Amino acid sequence: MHARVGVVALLTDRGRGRLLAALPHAMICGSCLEAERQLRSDNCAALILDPCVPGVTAEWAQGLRSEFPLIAFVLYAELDPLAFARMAELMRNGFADVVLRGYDDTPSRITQLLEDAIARSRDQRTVERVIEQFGGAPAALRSAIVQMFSHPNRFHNVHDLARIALMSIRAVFRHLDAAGVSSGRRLVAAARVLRAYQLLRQHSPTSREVARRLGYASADQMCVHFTELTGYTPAQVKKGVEETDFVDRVIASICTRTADAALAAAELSV
Amino acid sequence: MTRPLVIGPLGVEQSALCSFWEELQRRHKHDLPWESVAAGLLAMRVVDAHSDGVPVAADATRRIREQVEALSPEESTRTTLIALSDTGAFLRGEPADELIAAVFAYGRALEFEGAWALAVDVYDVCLRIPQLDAHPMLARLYIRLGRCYLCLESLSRASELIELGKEIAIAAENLEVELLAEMALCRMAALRGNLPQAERLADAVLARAQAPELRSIQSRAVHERATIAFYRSDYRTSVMLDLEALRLCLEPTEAWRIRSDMGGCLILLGLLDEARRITWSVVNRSPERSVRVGAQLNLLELEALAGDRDAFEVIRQGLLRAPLPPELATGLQHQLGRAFLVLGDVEHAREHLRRALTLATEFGFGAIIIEVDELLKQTHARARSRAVYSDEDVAQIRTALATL
Repeated sequence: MHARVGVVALLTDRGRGRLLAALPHAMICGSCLEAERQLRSDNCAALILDPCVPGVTAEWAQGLRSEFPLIAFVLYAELDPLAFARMAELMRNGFADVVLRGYDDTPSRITQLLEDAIARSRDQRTVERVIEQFGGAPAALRSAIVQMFSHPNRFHNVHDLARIALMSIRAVFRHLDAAGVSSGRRLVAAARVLRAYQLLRQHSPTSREVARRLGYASADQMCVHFTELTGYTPAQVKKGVEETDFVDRVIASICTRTADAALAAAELSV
Repeated sequence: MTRPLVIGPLGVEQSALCSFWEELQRRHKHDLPWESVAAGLLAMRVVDAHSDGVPVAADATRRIREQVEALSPEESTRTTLIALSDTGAFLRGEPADELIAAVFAYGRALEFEGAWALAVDVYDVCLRIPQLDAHPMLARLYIRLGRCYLCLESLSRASELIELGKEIAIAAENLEVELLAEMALCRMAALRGNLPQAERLADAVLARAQAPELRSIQSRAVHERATIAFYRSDYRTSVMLDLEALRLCLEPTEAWRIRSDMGGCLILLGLLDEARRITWSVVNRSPERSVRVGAQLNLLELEALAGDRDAFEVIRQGLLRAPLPPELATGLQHQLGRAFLVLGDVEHAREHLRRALTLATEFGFGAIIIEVDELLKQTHARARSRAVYSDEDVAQIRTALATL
């Protein structure tokens, strides 16, 4: 992934060696200005951020996030009180992806954490669209749905969603119905299909690899979800399917209201 | 107190271990609890990674294990963290039952330490283990979560979770867990001041928990009746019921809770020597930190009432030296303020009450804010009202205590 996807790392001198060993293609910067320049000039997918670099504040990071909404922000810190104090400020402002130096920065682990963070940031707008549907639902359910789209491999059915939302299954179905979601099963599948789409597009893993990572029993099972929700197969996605088209199909397949609206629009255009 | 809340870019809560992060930024590195919380955070991240199906490098799990083993043997969470690092999440196996039990045990250990916000995060990690669905532990987990929220003064959340746990227990025909949920609801009713409802719930549990294997539940129900009597200022009945609960009790931890409550009642009955003996035994032997600290707070009041300023100072200094979680630290300052009022030392009382107010405001303890505010308005010493009992009553209690 790293040879193809741009990763900028804003680090103190101390953290550079380990990170470069894990991500040899990362562009290392030593100051906020340098990092900003790099982000503006390159097609970057992720910014790895050491909270101990002078000038790194929640306000600065938020400004950057507004400017680059599709970039994944990943905090990279040592297990140390000073770093934690700075990190807590960033986390309170919604920067939740963390890599701990010496624990998470082996090449395979950091690669996976980065890929997931990048996919999450790219899915953000889609999740916003889904969450909009749940405006009237309790915060706990909306939080669980966001968790489901952030970590789709943890959710295999509506029971999982209910468990994380701390709700009974009946209450979840009631809220899904109120939100115009046609099928809870499809909503859960949508989270995994969207993540699979991002992973298939990010680099070149096999469908089997992506299916395994998302907790599917087999690549065939993933393929069934793809076709059921979008009409496309994973192979077609790898060859190139427009993201807007793919996402629209997923949303339409889970939301009755959206599906009805799409149908009405299609009828009107005819 | 509310848990730290992290609102993500989508305007909903991001709750991944946020209490751990907050706790770690508050503490100092060379303080032992910092190391303990840090080890807990690392372990929970491994469990989350396991739930995600992401293998953690063997080197990282080895380092975490070393970090856990380096904790002082006196550190109460050490044993549970070691047990956790022996499970499949660390050893790349799949025995989910062991993992769920180990994470649950770590959550309980944190509860024993009075670290309820951390325990909530741990139970959330447990809920994220995919195999937990339809696991017999699920109902218990919801009830524990509810209990934690109860301690964090989030009553409506607590109520929802306990009801949910009860619903699952009923569906699974698990009477023991269902009755545990009823007991939690009974406690909530008592805390809300609805004593008749609390009494009805406790009686209903007692009526249903007649089987010998449900003796622990019987004990808890009788203990709850004792608490209700305490809230009604009927301290004599409360002590007698506590003794009955103790007779039925099979769990050492619960037995120390009962003794601690009984000590508090004896103070109010004026049986200071008996109260001192029981309360010191709780301080020295209860495995639950919140119960030990609660008992020490009772001792403060006791020595203030006895007018023993030296003994009072010894306990006060001991309590002030110990690092305490926010809930207990606030309770300590509150109780010190009250005790100084009893001693007639208004200046010191004000000082501690102001500290309690600052802490209660910082951490959002609504009930304490109101009470401390009231106390601060008082400029004269105020002793807690004591019920008057006949010599016969007192003799009867002394006789009953002799059987302990």
